[in-house]
Formats: sequence, C-alpha cells, structure tokens
Amino acid sequence: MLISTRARLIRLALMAGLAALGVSGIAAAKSPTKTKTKYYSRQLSALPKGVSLSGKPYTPAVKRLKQTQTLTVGIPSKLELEAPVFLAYDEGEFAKEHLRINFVYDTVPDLLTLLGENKVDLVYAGAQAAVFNALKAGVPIRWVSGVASAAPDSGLYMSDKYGTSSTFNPSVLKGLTIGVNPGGLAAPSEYGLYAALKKGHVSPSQITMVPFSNISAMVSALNAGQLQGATVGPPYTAGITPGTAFQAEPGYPSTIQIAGYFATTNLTKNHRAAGIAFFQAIERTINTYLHGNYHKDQIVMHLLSQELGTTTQQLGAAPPVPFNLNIPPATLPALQQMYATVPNTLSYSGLVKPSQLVDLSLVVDAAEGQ
Amino acid sequence: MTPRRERARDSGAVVTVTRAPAAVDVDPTRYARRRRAVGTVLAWGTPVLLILLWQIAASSGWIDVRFFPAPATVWKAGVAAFGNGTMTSAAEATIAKLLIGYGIGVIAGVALGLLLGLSWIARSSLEYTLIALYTLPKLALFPAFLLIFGIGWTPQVVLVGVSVFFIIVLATMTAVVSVEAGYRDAATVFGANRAQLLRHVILPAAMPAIGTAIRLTAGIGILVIVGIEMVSGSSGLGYLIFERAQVFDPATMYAGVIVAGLIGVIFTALVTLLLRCAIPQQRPRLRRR
Repeated sequence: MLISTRARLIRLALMAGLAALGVSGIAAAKSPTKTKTKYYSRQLSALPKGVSLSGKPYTPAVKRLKQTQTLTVGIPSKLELEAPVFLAYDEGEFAKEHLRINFVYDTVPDLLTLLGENKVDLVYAGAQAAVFNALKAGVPIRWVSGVASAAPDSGLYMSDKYGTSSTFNPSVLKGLTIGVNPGGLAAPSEYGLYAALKKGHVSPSQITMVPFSNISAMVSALNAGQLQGATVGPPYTAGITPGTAFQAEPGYPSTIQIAGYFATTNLTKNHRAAGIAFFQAIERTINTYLHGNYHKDQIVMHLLSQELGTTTQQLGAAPPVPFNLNIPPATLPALQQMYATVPNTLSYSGLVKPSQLVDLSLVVDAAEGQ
Repeated sequence: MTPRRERARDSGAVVTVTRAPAAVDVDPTRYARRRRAVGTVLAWGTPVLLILLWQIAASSGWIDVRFFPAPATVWKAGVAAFGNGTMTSAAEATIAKLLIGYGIGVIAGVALGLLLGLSWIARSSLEYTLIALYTLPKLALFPAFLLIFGIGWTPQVVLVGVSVFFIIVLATMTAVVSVEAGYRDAATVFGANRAQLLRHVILPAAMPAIGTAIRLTAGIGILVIVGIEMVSGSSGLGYLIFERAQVFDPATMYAGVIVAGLIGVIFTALVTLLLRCAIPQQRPRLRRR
C-alpha cells in the first residue's frame, strides 16, 4: 500500500513535471508567434479609422528618446515639399526628441541604393517605378509617409495654341512634344500627363516625351514655344510667362499620394523609436508652422527661403503646399497602372499590394504619441 | 663612371664595351610578333580578370547583387536589350551624335588653331577670349544651347563639338607657334612661299601635337555625349543608363555602361589608327623595353 502510494506520488510528480515542461514549451513556441503577429499588425498599410495625422499647433508633444540617436536622411532636391524636415531641423524639433539628423543630397536612384544598403535611414522621394521594382527585387523598402496633396497649380501645362483650361481636348496631345521630369511616365510626378493621355485615348508612344533634369530650362522651352506642353509644379509654375501656357490637367487627384519618405524594415523594425521621433518632429512642425496659408507668416517664409536657397517672393508666388502625410489606399494601384503603360518599366507582373509596401505605423504612432 | 674606367680614360686607353645581342637584334620580326602576342594577351587578359573577380565577388556574396548584379546577369540583360532593339537604337544614336559633334569640333578646331598659330593679329584678338571660353563649364551652358538650337539632337551635338573644339584649337595654335624658327628660316632661305611653308614645314612639325589633342578629345567626346544624354533628351546610351536607373534595372543599366565604355575604346582605337596612318611620328616604334 505504502509502495503503491509512493509510486502514485512519483507518477504524479512526473506527470506534473511533464505538464510544466509542456506548458513552458508551448509558451516558448507561442512567444515568437506573438511578436511576429504584433510586428505584422504594426505594419499599417492604411490609416486606421478615427486617426488623424494632423493636429493642433505644438502637437504631438515632445517625447524624448532615452539616448540621442542619429538618422541619415536622403534628400534629392531642396523644394518646398521638403520644408517640414528643414524647418524641423532649424527650429530644433529633432534636437528636442534627442534626434540628430544628417542630410545626404543625391539623386533618387543613388539614394535608393544607399537606402537598400542601410547607408541612409530615410529617403525623401517620389514613389517611382524603381521603388516597386526594388521591393520585388528583395529590398525590404517601405513607404512610411506621404508628403502633400497635389498643389493646386501643379500638373500638365499646354501652350495657349491648344485652348484653355476649360476647353482643352486631351486628344490633341497625339504627336506633340511634351517636356517631362526625369524618368517620364516611370515617375509619379507625371500622373497629370498620364491622366490627360488616358482621357484623350492617346498612347504614351504617340507623344514625344523630352525629359529635363533642369526644370527651369523646361519652363523656358515651354515659354519659347519649343515644347507644346510640359509637366510643371511649384515653384517652377511661377516661371511660366502669363499668356503662353495654361493648366490642362491637375497634378494628381486627392485620392492618391505620389511622394514621401521611404525607409527599410531596418528603421521600422530595428530603430523604430528613432523613426517615430523623426515623424513626431515632422508632424509637430507641420501642425505648428506649415498649416493653412503659412505663406502669410513672414518668419516661416524667411526661414524657408534661407533653407531652400530662394527668396520669399519666389516662394510666395506659388500657393502654399497642402502637407499631408497620409498614403490613400488607391495610390498603389493607380501608380502601377500608370507605370504599366510604358514597356520595360515594371519588372514584374501583377500588382504590389499596399500591405507589401506601405507602412504608416511610424506616422500613426507619432501622431498618437506612442 | 667607375674608378677603373676613369683610370682608363685618364691613361688614354680605348675602352670597348660589348654586350650580348638582345632578342630584338637576333630576330626583329620574331621579337615583334612575340611582343604583339604578349600585348594582346595582356590587353584582353586584364578586363577578363576583372570580370572574373567581379563574378566571384557576386557569387560569393561580397557585393549586393540586388544593386551590383553579377557579370552573367548583366550579360543576359545586355543581350535582351540588344534583342528588343533598345540598346541598338541607343548605341546608334550616341555614335551618330558623337561622330557629328566630334567631327565638327576637330575640323573647326584645327582650322581656327592654324589661323591663330599663323596670324599674330588673329592670335592677339582671340587667344584670351578662347581661353576664357575654354574654362567655362560647358554643361552649365546647355540650357542656353537648348534655347538657341531647340530640342533634339542639335544642342547635344553642339555641346560635344564645343567641348572638343576648344581643346583642339588651343593645342593646334600652340603646336604651330612652337615650330622651331630654324625650320621656317631654312625653308624661307630655300625660297618656300607661305603655302609651301605651311604644307612642308609647319604642318608636319605641328602634326604630332595636334594628333595627340585629337586622340585625347576622342575620349572626351564620348564622356560629354553620354553625360549630356543622361540629363537631357530621350535618346542614346546616356538616356538608357539614366532611365534604367530610374526604374531600378541595374543589370541593363550596367550593360549600357559597358557598351558606352566599349564604344569609347573602339572610337579611340579608330582615331588612333587613323592618326598613325596620317602622322608618321604617331606610329609605334620597336623599343627594347
């Protein structure tokens, strides 16, 4: 009896031990799944309902990093679209977050290469075909924020010979020579031209696209009548001689976004806190200085003119940029449809889904003060 | 001089220096053939070795093939680009623009350089203006060329021509001015008129320096045309390289870079060959080392 009781006790103890091992094993097995699920649920391909990326001045509140961290930001040009990052730098918004920012100036293809090699942390760029192809080639690139809704004066400008803004018939584009930004229809800045071609049932191969790296030269060629049309955005729209050209098609609809900041999972995953701090500073700068008609604010305009290497008069000639960090869901299909119209532009078939490329989690966490 | 030789010299003894015949002395034809063969192997072997190293680096993961594809991938992309005609039409456009621009630049440069070299009035009027224009960054002038010559090939051709022209004109002028006065005097003494002086004395004496400038500018021509195609226009290898970079197609982009390099090598070799035919001093001579 005694033996059988002892044996039962030993058996019970063994069973309890095994059960404990089993539970801990399951827990151990479950724990990475939990992390993984948490990580993937953090990749937000759309703005959650009720979340707004804009707010009152001086919000989101400063939430300092425990230790000062450094981010390297790639910038291809100094345009008003990049005003938030320069103003945040000037106003010490990054420093408040214990964030040190280094700027690297280069072309978008070079910056994307540096990004893929983790030599820069964030790149300001258009969502060009290269971004989609790089993702498909295995670069863990993420589109982490938008930049602005279309400026009202950006888009396709046509010579006055082809009518007016209200009477323009896009079918006349056939056979014409149009000045475009580098990359042509492989760059999102040409969305206005693409929309006009679509409306006029004109194929991209039926027009002559002349790319210009020097946009001032393109505007001069449009003014001189050497181009019949050109895609122009601010501040270059101010250079169009009145009476020579009219806005035939706006830049892009409010349902899509064409540019913003790109990062890799190295930032969104490994240096997440720094990424959130960066966008907290950016959002606070937009909310404080760059909302509404900020062109009336002389101090802001003075700072911007200094940072962008221009004058307040030149900046003021164009309407203020409607900054908007969101990337609407219609963006990716719309851009990929545009790129697919030009042969050899997209290196893959099918569509890249927003869940593969877009990750708004940094800007959302920044807005919510996470 | 060794002390022994010094002593020999001081004593007035005759010193005879003898040496064994070198390979070039024994059989110059065979030596030349052998040297050509070794030269060819080295000329082809170096790029082959570099490509091999590149392939090994790519295969071993030392370089990120997403951004710097392996030579085999670049080869495939290049073949595909030639197959669908994009590379062919780009190369044709670049070669045509290069030949026209370079040709105009060389002819105009040599003509004006001769004039400046021969006429002190022309030299006084234009030399410093030309030097000032030569130092201007030509790419910065391109927007002005666009406005003057319109859109298309013409401004690019003009840019190549201008880039070549200034170097040739200054080199030619210097070469003509540097012809030794003794040569001119001798010809004049023998009754040569100005045309004969130019044809039989000045041109032959100045041609080696002019030829060197013509040869050097062949490489500059290809650099300028590919460079300007990358920032303006919609044709040529520069445009193809830039456009492929814009859509993240590094394999075709590097194929374009290699084709541009090959065009540069072939073009420079052709110019060198022509110069060797035209200028005796430019022909290689057999040397022992």
